[in-house]
Amino acid sequence: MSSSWDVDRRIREVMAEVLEVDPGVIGEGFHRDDAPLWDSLNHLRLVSALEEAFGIKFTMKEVGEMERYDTVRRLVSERLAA
Amino acid sequence: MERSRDSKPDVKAIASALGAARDSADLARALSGLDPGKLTVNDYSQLSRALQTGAAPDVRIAYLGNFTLDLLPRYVDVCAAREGLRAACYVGPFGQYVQEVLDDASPLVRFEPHLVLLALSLRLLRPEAVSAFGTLTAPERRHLKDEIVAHVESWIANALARLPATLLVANFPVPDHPQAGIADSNDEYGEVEFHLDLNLELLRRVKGNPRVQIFDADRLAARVGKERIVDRKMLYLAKMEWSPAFLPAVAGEIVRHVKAVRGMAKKCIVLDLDNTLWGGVVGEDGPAGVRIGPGDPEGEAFLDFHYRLKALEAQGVLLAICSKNNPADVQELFESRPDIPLHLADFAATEIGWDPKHEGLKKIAAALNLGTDSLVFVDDNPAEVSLIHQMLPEVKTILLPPDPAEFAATLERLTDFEKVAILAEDVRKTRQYRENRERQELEAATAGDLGSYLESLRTELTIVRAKKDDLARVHQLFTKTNQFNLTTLRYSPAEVERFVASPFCELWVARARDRFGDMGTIGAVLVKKEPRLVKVDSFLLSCRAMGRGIETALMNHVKTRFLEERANLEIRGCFIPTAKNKPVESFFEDQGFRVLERGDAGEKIYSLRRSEVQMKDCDWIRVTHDELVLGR
Repeated sequence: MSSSWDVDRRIREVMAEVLEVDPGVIGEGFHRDDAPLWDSLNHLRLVSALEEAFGIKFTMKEVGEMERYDTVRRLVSERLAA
Repeated sequence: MERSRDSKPDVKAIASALGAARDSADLARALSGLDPGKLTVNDYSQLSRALQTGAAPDVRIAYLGNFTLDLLPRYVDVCAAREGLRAACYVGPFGQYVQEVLDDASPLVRFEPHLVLLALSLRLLRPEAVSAFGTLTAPERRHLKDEIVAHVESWIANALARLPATLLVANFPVPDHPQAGIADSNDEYGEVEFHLDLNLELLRRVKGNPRVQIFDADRLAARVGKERIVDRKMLYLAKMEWSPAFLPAVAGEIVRHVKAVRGMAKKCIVLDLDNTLWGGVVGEDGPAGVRIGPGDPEGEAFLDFHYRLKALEAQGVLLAICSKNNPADVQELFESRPDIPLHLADFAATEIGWDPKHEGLKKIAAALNLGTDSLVFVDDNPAEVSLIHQMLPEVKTILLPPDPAEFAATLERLTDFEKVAILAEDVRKTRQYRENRERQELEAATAGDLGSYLESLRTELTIVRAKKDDLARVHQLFTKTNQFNLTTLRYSPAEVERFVASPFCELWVARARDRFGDMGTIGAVLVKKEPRLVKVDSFLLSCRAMGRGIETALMNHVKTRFLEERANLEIRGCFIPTAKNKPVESFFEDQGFRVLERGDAGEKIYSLRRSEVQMKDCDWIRVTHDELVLGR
């Protein structure tokens, strides 16, 4: 199983790829408003990309909550722990 | 723990190769060997972004529908690039597919698409067809089906009128879980029957119009797995009726249509013999010892492979053999095994001997009057495949899988022979090449005396204005003719249709037959009329009709036709050089035209004034302008 450090790094990679930002800027507090490309279509791409990267499925409610990096990290960890 | 990621393609490296690609070969090379099934949504987006370099697109595709299609173009970009094509996309505003084809100045019309996909979600179009199907009476269900067909048909009519594009109309996936369960099949006009009937009626309504094609989403969904084609979450969150998991297959199918519309089909499949057409080695196992035919599992697999090849032959794909073997052994095998589906007569060309195979392929191409880039080479030997790949990179090569069980399936998945429709000319093709071989034998027999050879062919030519029935074949000539093509302008079916209807154009087609058989429609001339002069826009002749004066008879027709009208003072012609049309670079000169201008790329503009016109002799050809003589 991946270490939490690996998971964090991978989340940042995926988010950086989809939202076309430098992985360095993604961290605690990184919010939807910080990424100009984080629109509704890219939001879904982000969800698909995270699901593919970790082999998990989010619920629709969770998809709605994913507005910041911290939430994404928490939801991915919860899914991986389940 | 990262192993699964390590086996993934290096998307960043591919993206940078795509970004640097200068031509279509670079594009195809950057993506060759890539398994599209291994790419994620994100990979497709990255690769698609790398392709947006500002280079001119090869094909413009519009996506219209009543559900979210925004992700699809990224997949299509990548699939098109695998085939060496740059695609540009236009995604219509959500649900505005009707308005877009009613307005002459809509963004869709201004985009000038080559191809338009219309994809409708039944549950969004007519919710009751899904939500309340069980409560509808049978007449209500039939009425609903009629309304949907009428809706799609009226969209097609408007789109055809306003767009010079080929339309791809998606049908409706038949539900994998009908609401009534197994009782659905006993229900009057049940849910499955409703969908099948709807799809069948759409198919029948568009059949015969070369500009409208059914995009068989139902068949595609079945291939991918109907449970995977909808991601419910994406459907509810974003009205995404086709899930990201479905999109690679959808994109692949769209690109098949693109290839067909653009006439990118290969023309000849060249096959090895031992362990390709049969199991074993004829030189060692003997004609009776090789495995082909019923009764033996491997023999059955090769039998299926033969049937598949026969099907290709029936579609107009030429078959050829390139094998390292003793010709007598091969001859004996074919003669002593009439039970084998393919006979030597099925092959338009054979190269059996001990020369290197790239030499064999060149000879086959020459014998069939084709470019080597029209060949697909199939062999079980990796060394031969790699040799061809190296010596003739333009030839598409297929290395057969290790187990003959997969041979037929390998052929089934090829998309190199896609055509919009199979025409009468295609079905007759192998026979026509065989007749050509007989003509060549006659030519050899009358060696040295060209006049008596041409005389003895007894060529009859019919030249008539192109009509609606000719459109499909004329479009095929425009897309497929490489050698005897003076301008190589690749017109779409829609453009050809416009030429036929326009009072400023005349499109002529030529049909030929001789003592060996009917050659079908072998030539076309497109002339555009301007005040006081006429321009020969396109002049093309199928390669199997070359070298017997038909081109002269056609040009004489053009001269007679236009200079009999006093208003026309001059005929203009144009030659645009390509890699293939060198044989006709001095055609206009030979026909008495004067060079008016020369361009930097070798193009030449010609003029022939009224006073200069002379007919060139070709009295061994009997020309008629009467439909009834040759019939259809």
